[in-house]
Amino acid sequence: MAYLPSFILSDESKERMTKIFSLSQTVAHYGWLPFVLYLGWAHTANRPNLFSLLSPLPSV
Amino acid sequence: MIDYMQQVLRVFETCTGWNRDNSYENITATSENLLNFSIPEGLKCQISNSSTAHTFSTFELSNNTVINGSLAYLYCTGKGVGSSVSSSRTVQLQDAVETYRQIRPLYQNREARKGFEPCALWFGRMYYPSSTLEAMVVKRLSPETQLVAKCLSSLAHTSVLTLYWQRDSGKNFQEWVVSSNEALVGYRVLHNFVGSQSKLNTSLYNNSSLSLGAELWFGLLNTSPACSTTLRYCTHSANTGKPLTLTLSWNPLFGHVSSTYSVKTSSNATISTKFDFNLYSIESNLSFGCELWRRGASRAVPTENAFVQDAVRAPSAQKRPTDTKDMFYHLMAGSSNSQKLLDDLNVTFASSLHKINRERSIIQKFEKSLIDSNFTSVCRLSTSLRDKNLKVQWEGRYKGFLISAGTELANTPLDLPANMVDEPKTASFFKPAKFGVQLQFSM
Amino acid sequence: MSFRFNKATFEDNSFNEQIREKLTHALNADSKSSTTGTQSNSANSSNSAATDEVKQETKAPKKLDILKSGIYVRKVNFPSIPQLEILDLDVSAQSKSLLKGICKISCKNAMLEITTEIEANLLLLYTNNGPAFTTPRLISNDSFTVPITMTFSQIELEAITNIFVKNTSVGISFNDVNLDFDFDCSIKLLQSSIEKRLKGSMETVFKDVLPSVIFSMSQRWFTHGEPNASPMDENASKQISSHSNAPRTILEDADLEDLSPATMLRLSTLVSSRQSLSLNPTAMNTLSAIPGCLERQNLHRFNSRVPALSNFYPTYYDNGVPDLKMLGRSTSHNTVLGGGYTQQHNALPQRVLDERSYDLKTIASVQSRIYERGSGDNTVLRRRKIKMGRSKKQQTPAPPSQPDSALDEPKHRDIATAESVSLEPIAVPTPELLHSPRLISAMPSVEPLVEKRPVLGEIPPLQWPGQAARSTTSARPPASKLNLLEEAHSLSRKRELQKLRSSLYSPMRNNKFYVTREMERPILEHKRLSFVGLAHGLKWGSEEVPPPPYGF
Repeated sequence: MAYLPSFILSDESKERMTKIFSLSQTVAHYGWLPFVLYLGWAHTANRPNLFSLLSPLPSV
Repeated sequence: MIDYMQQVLRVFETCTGWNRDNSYENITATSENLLNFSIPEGLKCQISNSSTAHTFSTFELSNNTVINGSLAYLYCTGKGVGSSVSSSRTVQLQDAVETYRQIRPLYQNREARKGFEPCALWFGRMYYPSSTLEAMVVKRLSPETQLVAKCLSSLAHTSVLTLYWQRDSGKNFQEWVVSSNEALVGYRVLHNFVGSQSKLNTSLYNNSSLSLGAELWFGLLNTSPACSTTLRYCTHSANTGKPLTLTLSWNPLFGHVSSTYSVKTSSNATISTKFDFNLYSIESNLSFGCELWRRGASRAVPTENAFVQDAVRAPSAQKRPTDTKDMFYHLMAGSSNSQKLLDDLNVTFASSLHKINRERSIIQKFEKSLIDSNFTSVCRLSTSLRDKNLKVQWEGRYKGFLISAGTELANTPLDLPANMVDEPKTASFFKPAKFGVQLQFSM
Repeated sequence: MSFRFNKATFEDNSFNEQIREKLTHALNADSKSSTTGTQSNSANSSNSAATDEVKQETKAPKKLDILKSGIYVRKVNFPSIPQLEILDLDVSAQSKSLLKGICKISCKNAMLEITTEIEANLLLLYTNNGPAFTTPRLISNDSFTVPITMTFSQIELEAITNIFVKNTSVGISFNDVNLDFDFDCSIKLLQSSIEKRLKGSMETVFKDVLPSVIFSMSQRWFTHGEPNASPMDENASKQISSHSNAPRTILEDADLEDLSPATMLRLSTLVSSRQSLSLNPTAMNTLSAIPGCLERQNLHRFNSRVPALSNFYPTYYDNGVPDLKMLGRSTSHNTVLGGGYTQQHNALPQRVLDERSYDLKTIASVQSRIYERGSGDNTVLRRRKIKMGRSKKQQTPAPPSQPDSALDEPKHRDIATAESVSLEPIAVPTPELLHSPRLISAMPSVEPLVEKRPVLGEIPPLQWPGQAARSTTSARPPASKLNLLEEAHSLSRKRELQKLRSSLYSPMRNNKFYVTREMERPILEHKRLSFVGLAHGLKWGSEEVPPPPYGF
């Protein structure tokens, strides 16, 4: 955002956008694995319980 | 050793009819696998599981000066992926390790394209304790196109996003790559020449493929270009049916020429040599690598990995009843009305057709022997004249664990900076520069 | 206030060699630290994700190294001597800085040649450095090293610098830098871009790099002593090492309290005369322009007028002490003043005794004058007279022990005060038999190390003057040893002011700073402010007036 001249965006909104951007990055960063897990859970017919999905150890 | 997630990705590509070898990035994969195999560092343990037919997970612990861990989850759509991914107990060792890539001719890959449905793969891996995230999405958009997005997200450092757009029409392969790292932009192209050389051959049976590819790269931020062009020729030895691969790469920018020759001398031995030469600085390098496979007791009933065998056998199995006609379709493309001519030809070249059958049977016998043989371990050796190093690796299966252990002996330790002025460069004996063991278990 | 710019350093080739070594070292030290980072990165550039992740961790300062080998400085040539022109010098700046000056440095026709090897395939560096997960694999992307030679010829440097000398370090700021050079690169393709970059970075070099380097280097001089003593000086520095390492208390507050206000006043007068560079007292043929203060180089003339037996037969001192007339300031470098002085005992020359050309009356008058000067009160001078009947035993026991012991009293008092003024743990005043009432407030303590040895060596037994004279000659070797230090001698005097200032105003830990690089030689280390001559009341600067008696 810093490269935009100030007459397009005010400094305040630039700062806000930077904040939003970094926040969304954090959300995507930590939300990616749950998202992948959710996809797997939602698209499986028998809806396995969460533990068996999460656990990397071979389930019995 | 191929990671479990990488295996899943490869199975996904196979199931969706994507030919991994038909890309410029992997044009020298065979020699790379044999010469520059990666050696694990430290101790690494991987436990993997396929919780459902579409989800896979991996937990990894590595002890490389510090203890690191990672947790990876993968979800993919697409038929048959879950059933095709085999556990470490049952997987064929050829599929679990990076080895000689056998390039199939163009016409043999056509069948897999039928019945396409869009599918996708999501992958995420989080490293601890640094909480760096690797994310990847692979989307099959159409039978010929694929979009790959890879992202390395890190809260402390800069994140990198790389996008691949790939189009594989069988004959041609194109790829655009954009990476946020240094604003790198690249274009890769690979063209497969249809086996028209069979006309020059004494043998009419053509199992060879000739590919020519090129790549162009440009880093926008550092304004540094790179380009290269490569010719690859894969064929089978006419007498023994043993496959061999030749590549010739040339980097016109820096005058780098490298040629490789890899051959599977028998079903349990492969050798590869590589000769590098720089046209400008007249520097040269000769590398040599080989791998030796060890057979276990031959398996009684290959039921567990039926799919893998089927996938490999599928083309030949289908072709068997009408093989001669199939063979000539690729020579005279689109001649539906020339059935008569074909029959004439069949009569004319009856003797050569016998020859074809004989040659093919040799090749197929060799391939079958590879599939049927129950390999238990492989030993690799690689050395390079200029670098004066020796890499040794052992990979194998022990009680359901896939184990990879290797070491690199180098003349000068790698972690010392090479440009110390008063560095004594007369270390005459080899020192281990790298050593590592990797354990992998998957259900 | 003065310092020496040692031209000789630049005249022989050793200077060029020295610069070459230092440049090579400095350039490589820089690259070494930077490459350890990148090298370790590329070392673990295996495809495995764990190392990749580690790499991401270590990658933090993104620094790529295109250098494939060390930087070698092939040739350095400074054909002409760099010129240093002092435009302004302000000694009494603030209390914090000892010295502030403006200098003009100019250097002409210098030449510098650097060779190294660089990685031409930049993209390889970037892809090697990037995380393996997101970095696409490039085919036939091998490293391509190119040797590169850079020649800077006709370097002309002209700069105006501000120099601040502080208690702990030196600060230099470059104001008006004119740098011009011809640049020649072995790769013509890169020549223009490199030249552009070099010229662009010159500003930071002179603004940031050089001042900080000099600053840190000077800090080392101040705290850790001389970092690079040339082998020539090694012996000398070894000799003085015991002295220079331990911090010395030069003048304590308690000492200052002991000084009388008059003494302090004289000291400050002397100091201010130094600061204003009005060095009147060094003028020829005057003993002292400032009342009560005696300059070091006038000491001999002062000595010559002190009533002593040796002064009355100057013609007989042909070999013992150099001609006193010659002991001017201008000829100081072929005579050792301090050394000459210490050998000057209150005894008749050997030749006088041999030739029997002495006069008892003269001796007696000298002795009485000594006594008068020493003791202020009018006690009657008692003299033991020994009649020598036979001619054989006519060697006069002229300096009798009796009055001498009486003289000891005031003399020791004098010396006690003198010690407090002198800026050195001085050689202990030797209780010789042949006491001369040296009525000088400060001991000339040049070369205490060399000097001490003969003095302490002869813990004097009762000696006849003849023997004493012989011991004088036997003490010559140390004096000739001093000649070795002659070069440094004049410098020591020039530094006196600084020493005094620092001793008076600031507890400088180790007086290791000299104005120019060439001047700080370890050989000078033990030289101190020689003395401050103090006298009371009388002005004895003219030739005729004999030195005044000393007192409070």
